[in-house]
Amino acid sequence: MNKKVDLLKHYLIQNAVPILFIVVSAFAIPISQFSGTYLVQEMLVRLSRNSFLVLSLLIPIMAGMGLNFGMVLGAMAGQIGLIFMSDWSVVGVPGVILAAIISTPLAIALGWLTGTILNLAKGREMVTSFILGFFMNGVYQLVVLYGFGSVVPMTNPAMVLSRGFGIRNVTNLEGIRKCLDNLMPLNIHGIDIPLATFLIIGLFCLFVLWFRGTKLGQDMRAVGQDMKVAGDAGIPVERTRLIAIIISTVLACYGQIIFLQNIGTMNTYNSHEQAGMFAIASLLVGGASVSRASIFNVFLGVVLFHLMFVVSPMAGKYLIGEAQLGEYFRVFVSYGIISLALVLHAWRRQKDRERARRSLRGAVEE
Amino acid sequence: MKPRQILVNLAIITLMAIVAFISYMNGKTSMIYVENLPFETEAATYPAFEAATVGMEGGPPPIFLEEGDRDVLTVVGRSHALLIEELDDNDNVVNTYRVDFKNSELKGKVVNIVPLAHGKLPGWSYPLD
Repeated sequence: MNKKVDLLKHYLIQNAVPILFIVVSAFAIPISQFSGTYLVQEMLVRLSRNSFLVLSLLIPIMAGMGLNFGMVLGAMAGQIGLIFMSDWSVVGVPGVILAAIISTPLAIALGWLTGTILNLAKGREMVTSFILGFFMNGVYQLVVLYGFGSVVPMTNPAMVLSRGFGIRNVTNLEGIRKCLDNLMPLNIHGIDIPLATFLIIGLFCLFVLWFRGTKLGQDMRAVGQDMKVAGDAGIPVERTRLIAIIISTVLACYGQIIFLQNIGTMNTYNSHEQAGMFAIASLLVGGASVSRASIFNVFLGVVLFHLMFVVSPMAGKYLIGEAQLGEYFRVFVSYGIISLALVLHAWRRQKDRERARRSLRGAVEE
Repeated sequence: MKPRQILVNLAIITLMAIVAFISYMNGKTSMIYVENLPFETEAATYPAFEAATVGMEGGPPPIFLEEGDRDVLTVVGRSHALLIEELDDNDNVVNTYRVDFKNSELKGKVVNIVPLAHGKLPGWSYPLD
């Protein structure tokens, strides 16, 4: 009986975050008065929009590098590709492909930079990549605000600020808006399903599954479990970690392109800033931790996190009479959840260490 | 780096460059000026259509041109299929024309739909003044 209670307790602690979100959503959905069809449609749109970005976080976690806050660098690369694509007036799926190809070398270079820096900051990867994101944001703004139109020639005057250089605050992506989502239109009982985008996401999931079984994937898992042991076993630890970050950055770049093609407009100087935060929050809400994440966590997290996005303002409006209060609640819960997940992870790690020490002492005493 | 690795990397870069070029050529948009004006050749005179709707196949909604009108149409890629619907006084469709043309056939940014609809008579496209 005690064993069963312990198991239940362990399960509840392990899945505290998604359970909390499910409970809050279960209360908020009826209060918000949204129809089931509307919510399903919204969730499908948001799954197709965000899943790729969140999936890009899996590989660094596998390599034991925690949550890659440096994915915003990949998002920046994707946005630069989109700026060029818009400038050259290339539209539709070819436009998306062109933007992805333009931004790939940039994402590789930025991933290499991130990986190299993170190799110098072993054990503090998350905070380092977080600050690196802020630093590169400055560089991105400098390049886009002063470099484009002066050093980098721009052909479309509508995109450039009136002074002759620098890109305008908003970049219109009307030419590629929903081009992937509408590539294979599917409508079931009035619900539009962006089949092509889901196929791409499905392919990516297959890639992650396949990658885990490859030599490099196994090396990453070994490095993620213990760098010293992996190094002693002949695995090039730093190179493996570098590759993990490069792959993650490139995939984040593609994820940002998919995200923005769905939105249809790009906030040139801000769109990338929240990409990392939202993706990481989604993953954590799905029950992942800093050291363990699965494809299931990605999809569960995106659904739960964005369900809160959709439901909470209306729930707040009907409950308190102010939609803004619901929005404040969502922001509080969403970012609080990141803190909670990080604290839980640190607590669990400390408990594991204590348990390991106790068992070691017990073994010595015996 | 081993020679084989270098070759593979070069092949990937080449493939990406080719895909980028194809994407650029197929997704590039350009604007053409479409007009509905009378057209004369040495052999015959073709009056302008009373009115017409002009649009790209699978593209945005067509534009409406009265006799003597000129408007802008956005075209995507290298080859296009232009759909022209000739209308009468009551805006009923009299004739429908489907004309295929390529960017390489354009002599300029202006396209007169009258010679275009009558079998791409020489002079259907010319540069903007």
